[in-house]
Amino acid sequence: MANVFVLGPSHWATPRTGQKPISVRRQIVDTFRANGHDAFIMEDHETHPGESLTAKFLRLLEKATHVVLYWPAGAVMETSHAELVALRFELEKGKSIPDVIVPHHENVAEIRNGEFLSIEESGQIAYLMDLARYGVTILSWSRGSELREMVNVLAEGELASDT
Amino acid sequence: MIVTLIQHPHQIAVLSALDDGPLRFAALKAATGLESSQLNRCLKAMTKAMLVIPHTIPTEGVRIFVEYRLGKRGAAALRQLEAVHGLVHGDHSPIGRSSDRELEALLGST
Repeated sequence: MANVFVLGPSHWATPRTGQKPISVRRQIVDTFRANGHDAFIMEDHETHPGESLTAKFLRLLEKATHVVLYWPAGAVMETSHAELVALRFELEKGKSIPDVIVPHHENVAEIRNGEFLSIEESGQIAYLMDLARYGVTILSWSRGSELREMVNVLAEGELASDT
Repeated sequence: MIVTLIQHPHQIAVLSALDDGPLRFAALKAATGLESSQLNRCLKAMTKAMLVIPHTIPTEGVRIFVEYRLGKRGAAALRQLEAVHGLVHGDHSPIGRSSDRELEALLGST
């Protein structure tokens, strides 16, 4: 059984119809839980008295075996950036972190001739590229149905190969 | 899944090449004989199907390279293909000797 910390945005940068990113993250959590894993998002945990958000993030990170970083196109990513920076600091301090899996929209980044390249013009992706230099799993999707299928396969057994 | 794979021999070649362990793009290209554009398309489709799983290779450099590993789904598909090959292989192959040789070549088996 894996302990999966699901990171990513909560809102779209501009109003749009359909599911909000936080709802997608909750669905990802539900899929892992339905397959016997412990999965959670930061918003579902209470902040301890006097605890900073960074301290809370690191506390939750400590109990995770895997991080799934949901990265759609066109979302507000500032909070995710802060979390990625915290992850990088942990790595730079020589601490081990959970296996990181990044299901990202294909308009954000791509693999071309074996090289992972950012294609998003806003520069938001720079934080992800920094993390990718430490070694992460990257899964590109274009439709919600593809994302759901990938998460299903991860939840049904693919994660076990990393634990 | 196996029927879909048989329709995409390039994907079978990629699965076979990864059976011994993770490979980078250039090594996969050499192992399969595919052109870069063909291999890019093939790997993208196989990643979406979770047959192969791309991982970035840790680096301190500017460029970030990827290695591909066989996903559990890919490994299961490969075992199924090998089982089919085992069933039909031989002088009296029910799929015909030419089809048998074709499957053998795709799987890279002896």
